[in-house]
Amino acid sequence: MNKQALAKSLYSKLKDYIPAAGAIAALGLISTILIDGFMNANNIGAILLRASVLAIVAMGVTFVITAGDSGLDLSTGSLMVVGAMVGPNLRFGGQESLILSFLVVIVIGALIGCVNGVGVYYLKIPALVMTMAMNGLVTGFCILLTRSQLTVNLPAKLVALNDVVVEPFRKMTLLVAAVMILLQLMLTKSKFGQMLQLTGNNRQAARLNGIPVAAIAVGVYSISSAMAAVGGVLLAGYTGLVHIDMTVEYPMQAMAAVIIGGTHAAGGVGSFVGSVMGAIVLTLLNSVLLAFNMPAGARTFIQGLVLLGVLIINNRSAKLRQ
Amino acid sequence: MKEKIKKIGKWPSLPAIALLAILFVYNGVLNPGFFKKSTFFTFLLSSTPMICIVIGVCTCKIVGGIDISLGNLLSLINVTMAYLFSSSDMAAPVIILIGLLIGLGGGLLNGICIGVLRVNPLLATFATSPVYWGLALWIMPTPGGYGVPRELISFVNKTHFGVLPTAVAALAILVILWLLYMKSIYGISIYGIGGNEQSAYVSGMNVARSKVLAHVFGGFCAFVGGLVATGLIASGDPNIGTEFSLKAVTAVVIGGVALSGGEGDVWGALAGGFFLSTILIAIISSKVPTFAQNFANYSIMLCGLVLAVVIKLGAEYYRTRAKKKQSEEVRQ
Repeated sequence: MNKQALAKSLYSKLKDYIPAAGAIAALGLISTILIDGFMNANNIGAILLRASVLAIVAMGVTFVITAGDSGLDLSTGSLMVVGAMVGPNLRFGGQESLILSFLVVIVIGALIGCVNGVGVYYLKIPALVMTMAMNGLVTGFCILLTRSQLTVNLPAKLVALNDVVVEPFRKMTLLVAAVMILLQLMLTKSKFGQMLQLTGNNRQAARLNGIPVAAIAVGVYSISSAMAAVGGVLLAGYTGLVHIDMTVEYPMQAMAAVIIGGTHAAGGVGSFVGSVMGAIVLTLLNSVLLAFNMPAGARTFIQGLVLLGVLIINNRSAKLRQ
Repeated sequence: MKEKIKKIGKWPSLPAIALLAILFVYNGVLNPGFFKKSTFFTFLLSSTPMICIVIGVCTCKIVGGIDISLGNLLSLINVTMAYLFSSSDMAAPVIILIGLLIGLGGGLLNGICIGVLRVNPLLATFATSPVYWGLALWIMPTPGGYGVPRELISFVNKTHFGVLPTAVAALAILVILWLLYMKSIYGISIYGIGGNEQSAYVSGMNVARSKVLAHVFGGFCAFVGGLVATGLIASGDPNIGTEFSLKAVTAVVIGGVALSGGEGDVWGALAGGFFLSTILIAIISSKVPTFAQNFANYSIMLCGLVLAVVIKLGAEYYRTRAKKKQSEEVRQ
């Protein structure tokens, strides 16, 4: 009996991870059997490296979705451009400092994200529309500033993030993994994590319990934008160049990664580990389909079907009769 | 008379219509040619595909949901029709019928995911969106398909009976259908479900059926938009509708359709849609330099959004205060 109860509690804890874990396993199996030379350390490392940029953006979006009230963030793409434009070009007294660059980018991102939060929470503009308009506005501002000609002067330390530590893990992958573990611990163990989850579950109850709902509801947008800006810096380090429309796919992909990772659309239940798994699923799927020589349209089509399948499996609302 | 004025003041579409009027006057002053018949009709025609999507999104929004896949569905219809026109010998009516079936089928898929399988509407259409776009890209990776028959092109670009451009005709058909739909039992139940789904269910409305029907109507709107777009650009373009989806949602919000559903009508949504498509013309006639156009476009869009929402919040605040005052007077 006790064993059964344990198994049940374990299942209810892990059931949100099933689609993502299943997809990774299935894709791994398919690629090992059908594609020669796909499963080697170098290739896996490259996939994980690409996934880590998406993962950091997706973890930011996880905050917004977990805080509930049908929140989402489609402005991450433009914030990544801001991060990629500003971060690598910063020098402090002629010296490059990765940590200070990240800090500056985080502050800029948080300020821009704050506008999103104010629009969504206080003006009650739907998050979809607000963040989409901000995405256009910030991108437009970048075009206005740079006249679409971005120059980037990559610091050596940023490029060094692509170096291998232990096959198949690169420095950037390990950095993102560390962030993931910290955030997951924060969500499950810390007071802020509990407050975030309660805010997502029931705003009214959270307010009555003395939780600063307004600060959290606005703050999550700041966090999301800040993390997207950091993601932009990492993307610049990974690709080695910056142009204005290199991030168009990221907002939608990050949202998809969060949902595949088992974060509930209604809010209140979120997982950073899940979001990283979702990012790996999407990147792996793309690589496998590329290895099969699928055209871009077919890849998009299959990604959509996978997303739809995951939604139908684990993101359905309760029956009206209940 | 006073009652009537009060009623108009409460009309949720009013801010959008006011915004549109301001932009029209601005355009007319800056560029007197704007209101010339031919220029104005061209403007109407070029914004018609997006406005069709707006009507579809408006319907889905009233039922308490949303649909962000309609723009990509429009692309899929456009691309499929252009492809079939160019590389098959099917008769034109058959091809148009196929386009209609794709529209209705896409709407049905959205509706089943949302109404029957109870997936969150935003996420469900967020997932079907790449499905339609991917199919469109698969059929036609780059713009092409220049075999669209001349009859269709000239039909779309023609002014019927000397006064009725296709743009107005297409939108009028959709609006009349919309009004008939809202007069029917299905339309009434849409408002009921948008207002409060639980009580609509308890009072015996078929929630799933109404939701599916609303999304199928959205798919039909995408078909009309796709047909007009095909005649307008005389070819197929897999990216033609990509930005329509989110713009249409913005238009509907500016148009005063309630965020949670159950409120608003097609007039506000239309005004919101035309507001968005007039912005770019206003920017061009103000001679804003090219690299600043994007920024200016989104700034005006955001200003319109904030204005519409603030007016709405203000009106709500004023109304609740008046009610409180009234009840206090009664108590005394």
